[in-house]
Amino acid sequence: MSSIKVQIMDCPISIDEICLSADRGTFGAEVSFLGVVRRWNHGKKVIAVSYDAFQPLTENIIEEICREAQGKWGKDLGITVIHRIGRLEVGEISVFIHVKSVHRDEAYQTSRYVIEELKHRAPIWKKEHYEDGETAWLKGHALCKENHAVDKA
Amino acid sequence: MESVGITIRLFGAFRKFGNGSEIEISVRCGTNLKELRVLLSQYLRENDPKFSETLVVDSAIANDTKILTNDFCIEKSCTLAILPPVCGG
Repeated sequence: MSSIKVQIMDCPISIDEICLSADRGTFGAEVSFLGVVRRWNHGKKVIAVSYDAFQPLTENIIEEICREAQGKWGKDLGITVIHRIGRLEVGEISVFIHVKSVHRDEAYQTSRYVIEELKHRAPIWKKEHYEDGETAWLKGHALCKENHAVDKA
Repeated sequence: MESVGITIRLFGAFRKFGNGSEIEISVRCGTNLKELRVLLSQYLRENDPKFSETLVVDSAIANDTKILTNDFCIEKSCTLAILPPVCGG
């Protein structure tokens, strides 16, 4: 049985709750990916990261990414994606991806595909808070290539 | 030409504008998104002379369900969102 669960949440992600509720026995492999707020970025000491998201569209796009993964590696994949919003301290989990599949190869490939596509396509932003009191929105991937084509034509 | 009021939701680097959540501007009926970008750049520059319109060029415009293309025309009052380059994860 396949399933896709996507959630954007403003409170800590409970990994145990998700992993322990997994349907053990049906799937032979489970792969979990955790994205974690790290202390250093480009030589600057980070104390926290604030995540912002356009929630309805983010959920739609991540679900679309998960469906694409099922199309590539199997309709029976179970995929859970949870992304935090709000302020997270160093060490907190920002994103959790849990993939269940019959065999491990599909689980590994799906996990990698989902996180890479999420980083390029999901309308989520992060602002780093530094030790010296400064903040900065991080540069990212443009969702609309059309503008560059028009303006550079 | 009839004008319509639209609400533009703000995210990421755009949150320093307006009330931090959205801005409201008036456009003529039939304005497409390429024209809206010009209007939006003007509005933002009036509020911050250092504003770089590159950010608007690099941003997508969307409604709640999908990213819209430049030929999308605004025919009535609506809520849109401007989405700067993304970096989730």
